[in-house]
Amino acid sequence: MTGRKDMARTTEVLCGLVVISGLSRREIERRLAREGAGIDINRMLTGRYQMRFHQLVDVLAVLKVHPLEFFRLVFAEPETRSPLLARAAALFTQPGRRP
Amino acid sequence: MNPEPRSEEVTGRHQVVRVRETLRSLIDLSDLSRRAIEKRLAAEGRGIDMSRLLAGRFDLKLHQMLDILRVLNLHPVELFVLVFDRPERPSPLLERAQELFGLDRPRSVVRPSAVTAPLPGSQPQTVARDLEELRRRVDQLARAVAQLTSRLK
Repeated sequence: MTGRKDMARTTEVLCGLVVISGLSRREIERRLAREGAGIDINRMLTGRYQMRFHQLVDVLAVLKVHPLEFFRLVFAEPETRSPLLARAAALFTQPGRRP
Repeated sequence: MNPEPRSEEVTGRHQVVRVRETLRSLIDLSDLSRRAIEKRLAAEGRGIDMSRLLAGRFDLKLHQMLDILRVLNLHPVELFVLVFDRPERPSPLLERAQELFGLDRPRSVVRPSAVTAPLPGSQPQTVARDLEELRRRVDQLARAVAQLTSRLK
């Protein structure tokens, strides 16, 4: 996926979850504001500004969705381990232990 | 649904710190310098000041993180597995979405036994555990690299 497609998919899935949650966008904003996080959900979900990572995590917390579950939903599972992580694993592999 | 008080562990700001730390460690482990990553991104018309980003001098945008992961040839989920602790129970909202739309549950998020497609060279049920272990070891390596760097200075 390209970066633009990734972002579009992220926004699309987040929009879907907001709808299913039954919470209005205004209510989500209110709950975030109570915790000191001012976010314009409409602008975020319509892609009118670049989404900050911490804002996304904060919105997911209001929706009670664990970030890891969300990202697994957005991005396809990796089919192979990346070479970088494979190398990191190999660095620490003890003799006789599977990498 | 009343919001429950959130612990420091789950605030977005706290998680960004962990993302930055993990990215820093992964870049240290890669063959690429921060400057080389910047050059590759600039060639695609995406200017990022890596040092300022990793130092937390500005808010990390999601697309910036995805761009850096692409340069590192790292799948986003691989990073997030390193950053986030696995949930103890499934999110009720995702369960509801699954009921409504018959969505496939993301694999290996809650129950490692649910993993069905193994990574090459790995048994399915151990992939998630391996990633957790790898996360711990990447942290160890980052500390070792930092110590070595300070000795060389």
